Order: sequence, then structure tokens, then C-alpha cells
Amino acid sequence: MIRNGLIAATALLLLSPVAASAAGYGAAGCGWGSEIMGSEPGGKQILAATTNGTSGSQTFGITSGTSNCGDHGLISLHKEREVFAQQNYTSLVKEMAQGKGETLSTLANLYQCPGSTHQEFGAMTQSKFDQLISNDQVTSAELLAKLENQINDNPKLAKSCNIRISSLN
Amino acid sequence: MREVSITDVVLRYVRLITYCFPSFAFRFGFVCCTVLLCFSFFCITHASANNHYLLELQQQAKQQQLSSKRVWRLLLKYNKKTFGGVVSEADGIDFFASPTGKTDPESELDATLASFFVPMEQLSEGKEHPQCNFPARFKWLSQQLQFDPDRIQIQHCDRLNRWLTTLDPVGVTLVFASYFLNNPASMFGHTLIRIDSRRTGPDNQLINYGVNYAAEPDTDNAFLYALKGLIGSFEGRFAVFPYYTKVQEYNNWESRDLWEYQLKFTEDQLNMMLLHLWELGGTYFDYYYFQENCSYHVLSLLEIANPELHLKDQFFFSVIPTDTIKLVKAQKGLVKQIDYRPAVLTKMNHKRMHMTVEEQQLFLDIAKERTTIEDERFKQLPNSSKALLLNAYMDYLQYLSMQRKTDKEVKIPRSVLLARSRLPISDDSNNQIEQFSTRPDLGHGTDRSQLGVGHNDHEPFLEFAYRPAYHDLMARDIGYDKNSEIIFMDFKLRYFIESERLRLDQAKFLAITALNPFDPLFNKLSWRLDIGIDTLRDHDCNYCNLLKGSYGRGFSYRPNFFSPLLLFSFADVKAEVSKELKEHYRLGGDIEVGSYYDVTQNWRIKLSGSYQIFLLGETKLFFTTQFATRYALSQNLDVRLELNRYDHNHEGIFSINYFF
Repeated sequence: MIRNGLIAATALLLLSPVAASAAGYGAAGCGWGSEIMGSEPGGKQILAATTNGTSGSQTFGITSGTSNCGDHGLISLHKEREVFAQQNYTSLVKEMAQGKGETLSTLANLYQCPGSTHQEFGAMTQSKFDQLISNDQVTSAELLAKLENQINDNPKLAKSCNIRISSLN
Repeated sequence: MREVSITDVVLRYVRLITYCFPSFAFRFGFVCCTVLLCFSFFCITHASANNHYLLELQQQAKQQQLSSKRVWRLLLKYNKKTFGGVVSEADGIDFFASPTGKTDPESELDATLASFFVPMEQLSEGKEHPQCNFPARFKWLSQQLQFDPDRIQIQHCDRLNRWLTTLDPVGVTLVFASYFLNNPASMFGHTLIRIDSRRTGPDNQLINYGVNYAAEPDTDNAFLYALKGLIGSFEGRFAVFPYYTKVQEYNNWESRDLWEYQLKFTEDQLNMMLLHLWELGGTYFDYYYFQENCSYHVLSLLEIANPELHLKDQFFFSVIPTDTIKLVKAQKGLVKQIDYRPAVLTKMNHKRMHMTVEEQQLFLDIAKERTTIEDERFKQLPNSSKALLLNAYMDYLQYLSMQRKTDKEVKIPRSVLLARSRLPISDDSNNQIEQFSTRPDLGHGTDRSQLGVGHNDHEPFLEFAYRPAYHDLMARDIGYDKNSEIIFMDFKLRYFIESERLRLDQAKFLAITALNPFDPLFNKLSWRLDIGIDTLRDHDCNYCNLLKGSYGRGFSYRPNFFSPLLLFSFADVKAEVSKELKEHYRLGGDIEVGSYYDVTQNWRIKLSGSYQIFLLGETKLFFTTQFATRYALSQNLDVRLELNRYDHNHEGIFSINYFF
């Protein structure tokens, strides 16, 4: 018990990890927890889901009507691409400029492009980069719209990807 | 069969009523009971058809002693109390079906069974049926008691089913977020889990869901924050997030490497774990920084998946994330794969290491905005160098953009992105990324005990030491930040053989050292802090003690990230209190320089010297020097030799350290 008390006494100085993990980056989520994340640097808390007061009756699925969550508390499948692109925007444009990367492959998967076409997908985003990101103010939604046009214009990708169905296989 | 008395029936209905009208019952308490009893006639008429079966099940459960089974104890989070009995860790009242459920597993089991019989129309609007709210309990009890679907109405749980279908687990991964760049306080790390879905497949880890347990702080005040974290006055809750939000948070914002341990569970086990997680989503736990923390509750999820695993029992006082990783790794056949997910600055540093000296200088000039990519210096580079430089620069800008609060949508200027997009896709297929952090499960244990023999100018002595946490700079740094230490509650006793005296030699309440090796990109100073009891070593006062505190800033240098040499220097302010000192105190400071050198991974040498200056209280100037060396025999065992000089006193100690 001495150990307990002493540790408690000096631990006051050590609590930043809790702060870091609990009050940090405004990561989006559904239901519980989204409110704990505080404000995201850059001020785009896109999934500001809030609890709607039926607390206690249910679990992860309590969200406000404006969020992208289904009533079961996970991202709605038809919103999955939009949410993914918005949350990973910086990584995505970076990888598009580089022509490859994990985030980019994941997006290709969300367009149901088979793995064999991911290289082509990456090369396309790189070669069409100046059209995809035409200025400094392009939003993630605009980026996706332009990307879908490019997929349609690319014979190989137009055939193998599916820009309409959002959920993964 | 036991006779059912009238009181039994009434009690049971009172329980049912509290289920039907919980807010009434809790708000108005006993006064309302009479009123509610009138309503209870409705309950009675509705429930009577199933009543008989319910009583049968409750009897059966008693006979089988289900309420004392391990799974029931795990599901309801019961822990043994010090003086007998149990208490649940869950603190949300809705987690229990019985008003006494927090401390009474049997009444909770009875009431849970009863709640499964409550007709849907008796629930207040917006409420899910208890069968759907507590699906893991329902599943387990129905397995144990073999519910007859003709005699109990099985509810259809729409939301739960869609949740399960979307998650559709084939695996679960334990994720460890390693230390925060330059912040040793984050060395304890953080753990969360990722649910790997059949739907997403193995190449889409980012869009799987992560399950996180964290405190919900309600204050920005650092002191209140710390205090509340310790005494458990924050509510800790589980949350489910897309894994990419966690990757953003740890990898890109905090720049912490992630270690992913894919675990092996059967689909049945995963299913049970998710059902239980669904139950936990509706409640909260008091968050205790050292005990009921993220790692503790993650372990409890794994135990639900496989009750044969006894993970939580292994911890006596504190649950430190790295220890839980080691424990999970030690379970035979549980970990099937370990993946490394480098942080954004790790990726950047990796690229910097592959640059020539000229490229490194140019990169620095660009990053510091002393030149731009429009400059001739950059333009004349070959394409591969340009690509490497821009890739690193984009990592750097991404990291910076996460630190700055800006509304700008594009975080990396379009001109930079565009320049990169005009260069070929780089081929780094043979270029495996170096691991800038090391696997946490390979690190030494966080508890340390030490046994030593030594000699000072007067006599030989034996030394015994113990500390519960965490890592010191002389210890092998695999699994830890190689440039920092946290020493916590390190107690050292010495027995002096000739004078036959046992003395407290040292008690380090807390010592933190963060040697931030110089990096022109960030140039952060090193710092250290030391609070504790020590022996007044520059006096001959029969090993008397002093209370001391010191804080210092300094400069350290490591030629490159993987270099075995680390140089450091510090200037500290110091305060010491002892009744052996004139006026019982002295205030001053010191200047120290020193170096660490890793001869091999297991063998480290330290040399340091400092000049102590005390100007207030007892004034004094003197030198101290230290030579120390450590050889690690295994992950958890090392031997050390230390030679110290304090003013005109000398001592040498040889010790064996065991970590666990």
C-alpha cells in the first residue's frame, strides 16, 4: 500500500499520455467517443456525432442526424469513401503526387478496383494530378468527383473498378 | 422443486417493475413504489405466461451455480473485494439488471434472466430490449441453460445485427502506440485493438475498426487533470473508430510508431468478444491511470474471447501497456503476426538517412524556408534525388500541418505536390524501412530488483534495490526509447558490513531524463528532473540522508539515429535539504557533460563528470565523476559495474539486475 500511495503522489507529473490519448486529435467516430476527441487541428471535425440523450439504452450507435454514421454506430457504407477521403485527405494527395501508397490503395479498393489495377490507379492519379488538385482549395468531395471522372476516362480502370458501389467486397 | 412464497413473487415483480420504469423508480425511490405496485398488475398479467419458465430457469441457474462461474464474473466485471465478496468494475447503473447487481452476482443473474422475459411493449420508447442490450449475457446463459425458444420470446436485434454484419470479424489485432517523440512521459505507451473484418480483407487494415478505451476528461486544467486521472474521477468509455482515425492520431499527429500484433481467435470467440463489447458501449468505468486503464480493459476483452486466458490476474498493482504486450506475446499461439507501422517522422527520417550530405543540407534549407524548390540548387538535381527530397519534405509538411491549427484545406502546398507528381514513381521495393522503434514485447520487464556488492573508502557493503517502473538509461533499450528514462519509486538500501548498519542509500521518487539528440530540423533541448532522497556523499556524516530536487536543460548529440555514441550536457538547478548541512539546506546547480557508448547491443558504457556549485545555504564547490558499464545477459537480466567519485569520496559497486 505504501507503493500505491507513493506512486500516486508522484504520478501527477506523468499524466500526459492520458491527455494525449484522450483529448487529442479530433478523430471522427460514431456515437460514444466522438465527443471526447476535442477539436481537430485544421478545424474539420467532420463526424461531429453527438449523443442524443437516450444514453444507457444503447451502445455505440447513438449519433446525431447530421453525421455519417448509420444507426448502428458505424460509418454508413454509402458514405465510406467520402469519410475516408476527408479524414485521410493529406495522406491521399501526398500519395497521389507520389503515385502510390497504402491510403491510395485503400481508396482504390473502396472503388472496387482489383489489386492488379492498383499500380495503374496510382499512375493515373499521379499523371492527372494537376487536374485532380487544380488549386489549393480543392475539397475532398471535389477531389472524389474529379477522380471518378478520371476513372471513367481510363479504359482499364473504367472496366475493372466500380465507382457506384461503395462498400468493399 | 422449491416452494415459491408470496414474498418471492412480490420481490421478483418489484425487480421487473424497476425494469419497466427505471427512471421512475430511481427518481422517486421508495415513495413511488406503492404507485408502481398498481402498475405492476399490468406486468403481472403480461408476464404470467412466461413466469413459470422464468422460475424454472432461475432454479436451474442456482443449481448449476452459474453466478459463480468465471464467464459470469468476466461478463459482469466482478472483482474480489479485499474483505470478501465481489464488486463490479462497471460504474454505469444501466449495466446491471438488479439494483444490487454491482455487488451481488446471484441477484444480478436472477434479474438478468427476468429481464429477458420482459415484453417489448413494456419498455420505454427508444430502449432496446435487454436481450439486445446484453447479447453476450444472453448468449452465454442460453448456452448454459439451453433456452427453449418456444417458452421464451427471442427478440430480433436489428441494430446489433447490422453492427455485427458490418464488423464481420475474422481477427483481432492488439495495437501498441510507442513513445511520443521527445516526450518520455508517453513512454508507457497506449494500447487499443483493431477488429479485422472479412469484408475489408487483409490489404485494407486502414478501414477496419479500432476499439479504444479512454478517459473522457472534463477539464483542461493540467493539475485537476492529473489528480482526477489518479483518483478515478474521469469516466472511461469504449469507443469504436475507423482505424485510420487512430493512425492519423498516433502516426501523423503525435508521430508515434504503431506495433500491430495480430491475434489468433476462433470466429466464435471473436463473436463473443464483440457481443460483450456491445454491452460495454453502454456503460462506463471509473478511469484509473495506473490500474483500470486502456490496457487493463483491452485485456478483459481478450479474456472474454477466451476465458482460458488469465491475463488480468498477472498484474498486482499497475498495468503498464508494454507489460500487457509482453504477456499477450507470451501466450502460446496467440500472436500470429507482428507488423510495424512507422510514424510520419519515422518515414521522413528514414528518407533523410538515405540522402547524401549535400541532399541533407538542401532538404534542411528547404524545410527551414531558406531556399525553395524553384531554386537552381534543387532544379539541377537528378530526378531520383528530387523525388527523395520532395517525399521527405511532404512528410515534414504533413507533420507540421497536423501541429498547426489552420483552416486551409490543402496542407501541403499544391506547388510542392505538383512538382512531385511530375517525377517518376520511386522504386523502393528493396528499401525496407528501418525500425526506428523496437518491438515492445522484446523490452525488459518494467519492475526491477537489484542485488549489488560494493566498497567505499571505508568499508564494503551490500546493496538491495527495487523499483516498480520503468526504464533507466543504463538498461538495454530494445523496446524502449533509446534516448530517455523514467525512474519511478526506486528504493535502494545498503548494508555496511563492518559498521553493521542498514541505511537508505537512495530513493528516487521520480527521475525523468529526455536526451533529445540535436536535430537541426526541430532542435529541442534535452531536459531532466530528479526528485528524491539521497545520501550526502560529499560529507563524512555516517551515510546521512538528504532530500533533493533538481531540474535541468541541456544539449545532446547523436551523430545519426542508429549511432552507438550519444553525447550529452546539462546545466541543472538544485535544492538539497539535510540537517547535516549548515542552515540545513543548500541551493545551487551543476554543469555536467558525459557520453553513452554502445559497444554492442548488450554492452553499454557511460562516462560523465559534473561540477557542483552551491551558493546559498551551505556553500560548496566540488567535482563528481562516474564510470558505469552494463552487460545484458538476456532480455531481463544484466550486470553492471559503477565507479563513482563525489568530491573526495569514492565507491565502486557491482550489481545484478533482474527485470520482471
